[in-house]
Amino acid sequence: MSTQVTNYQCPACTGPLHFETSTGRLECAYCASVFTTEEVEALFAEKNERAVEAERVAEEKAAEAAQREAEAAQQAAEEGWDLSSFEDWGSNPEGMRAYNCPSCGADLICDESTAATACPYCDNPTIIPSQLHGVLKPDYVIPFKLTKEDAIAALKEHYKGRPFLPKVFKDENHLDEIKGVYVPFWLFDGEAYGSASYEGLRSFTFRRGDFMVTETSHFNVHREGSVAFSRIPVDASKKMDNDYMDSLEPYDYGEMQPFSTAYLPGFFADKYDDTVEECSERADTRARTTLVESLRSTVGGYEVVFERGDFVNLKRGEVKYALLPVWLLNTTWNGQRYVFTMNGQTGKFVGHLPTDKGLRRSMWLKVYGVAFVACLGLAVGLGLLDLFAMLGG
Amino acid sequence: MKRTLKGIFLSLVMACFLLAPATALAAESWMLEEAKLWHVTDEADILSDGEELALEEQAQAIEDQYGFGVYMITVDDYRAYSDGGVFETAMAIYKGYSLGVGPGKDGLLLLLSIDDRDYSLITYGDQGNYAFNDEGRTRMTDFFLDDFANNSWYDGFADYLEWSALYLEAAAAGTPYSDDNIPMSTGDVAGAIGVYLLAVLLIPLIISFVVIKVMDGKMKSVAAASQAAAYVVGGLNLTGQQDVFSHVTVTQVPIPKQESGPSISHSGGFSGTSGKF
Repeated sequence: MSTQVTNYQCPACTGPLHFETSTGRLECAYCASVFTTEEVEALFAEKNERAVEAERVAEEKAAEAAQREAEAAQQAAEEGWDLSSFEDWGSNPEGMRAYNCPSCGADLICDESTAATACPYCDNPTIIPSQLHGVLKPDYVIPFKLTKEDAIAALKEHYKGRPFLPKVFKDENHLDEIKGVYVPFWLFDGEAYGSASYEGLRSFTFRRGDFMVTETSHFNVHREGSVAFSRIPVDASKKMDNDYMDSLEPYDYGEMQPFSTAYLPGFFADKYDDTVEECSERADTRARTTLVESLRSTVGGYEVVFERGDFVNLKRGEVKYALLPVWLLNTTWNGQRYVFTMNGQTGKFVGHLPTDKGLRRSMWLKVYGVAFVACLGLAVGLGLLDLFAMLGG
Repeated sequence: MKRTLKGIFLSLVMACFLLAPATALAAESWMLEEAKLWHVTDEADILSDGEELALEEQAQAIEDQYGFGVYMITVDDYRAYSDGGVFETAMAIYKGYSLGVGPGKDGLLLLLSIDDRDYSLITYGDQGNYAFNDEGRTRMTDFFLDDFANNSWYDGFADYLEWSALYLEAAAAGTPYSDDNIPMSTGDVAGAIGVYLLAVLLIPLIISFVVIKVMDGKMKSVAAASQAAAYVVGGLNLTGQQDVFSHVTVTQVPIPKQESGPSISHSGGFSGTSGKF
């Protein structure tokens, strides 16, 4: 069964529209017409609905067709022919979706979680409305503010001040892929409340006769409190590395918009494939840790504080579904894949870099050499020469 | 080879000690006494005859080379020889037996009182006070008192003679040992060089390790978030706070007794360092 897709075409010339990060509007690549997201949304709302409905009908038909095929295969088998390896090109393989590019007609297959993509043949931005419809529809989106050029510039900046970065990696760095992706996130509201116990020590030392006496006062310290949280983000995509997504925080929620597919053309987007239940533990852990640290910060006036235990409850609140902008940059070096990500809103850039072991060894020797010479000079200054002179004498 | 202090010279010593402070003339008169001691006088009988002979020969060699007398006297209890302290007793003996070499009576005397483990190292004369000044003399005791503390009598006296010769040599070169020119034993020098070398090798190792670790950290920029402080609304709402006194624990640590250091004395041209070993 072929997935129903939508491509946002310019009402003036039918050229593909794409979201322009600098203006926050959709622009036509051919006639330079500009449209607001609201205008585009209104224009294509009906088309999206039709695509969703068409996909529902198509799924029913596909089910019927599959039934008929199964019956035919059974009949063929009874007649002695094995057709089990045959598969309809239009059907969706496991974990994949097939669709026809509305622009060039190419038969394409994408990941089943893909919600927005581009045709590899004509680069036409394509939306898969059924991925963002009904319960799957995100509540919010933070539009991309930074461009691909910004991401490339940030990567170059990321290389600076990295002492062990192989020169070849920097000089011959060819990006395998760079793409802007709207990553699905769950935003968790809630409250952590609980208590923590500590033992605080205050000491006073004085002289009594021939003894130094230390009197240590022990206090049982108890704190209770609560912390409310708003929109702790947890990425809901299995494809995205959690640590990478955590490292891109924070996002400025002040620029968050109600979701519209009009923000998607020109970028990739995934629907969530990690459920709220699967992601909530990470939000819970962060909330719990934050409360414990907050309570600990109120314990003062002691020279030593021992933590004796804590008890934290979580009051879970509303969960929202949002698409947040991430630039993904992939490169391969020495047969290893290196991934970099940039917050598409704030420009925060992260990614591990390869280490040139030769450079590292050389730097270690340089640092050791400089420190050795400095220490030797100091030692000589402190009288090592005198010692040798004495030995000589 | 034992020589006895008690007996015929005891009364002379006491008389010299008691009369010495009276007048300058009296102070000079003791130099004319004919009573003599060898370089080694082991009244406490802690050295064998062979050890005494060996030490005597070394002391004589020093005297021959530098024209300076280096003496060693052991007694059971210095109080049997004077009513003063160990310094005064050493001074009285030095005067009473007319120790010292040449017209200036230059010399160095180490008196050990075995019963109470007291010692006094005194010097007399311009050469003595120059070569064995207060700082240098006090430092010198470090080289042999440890032997005496371990009852290694011969080793202690041998070190005493060895360092006496070195001090005289340094003084002859115009650089007497003092706080500005600290004498060091071969062991001290080797130890100091060892410490320097260890520091020169290890400190750069530690510095380079820390620097490389910091640089390693710059290659990594991805980490899981552990808390959510950025998403807290309104801060911590502290609803309960208790700090309840529980109990007091007391620990007592004895204050280490301050070791009484050597005392330095000056009197009638003598300078001395005295103390316990």
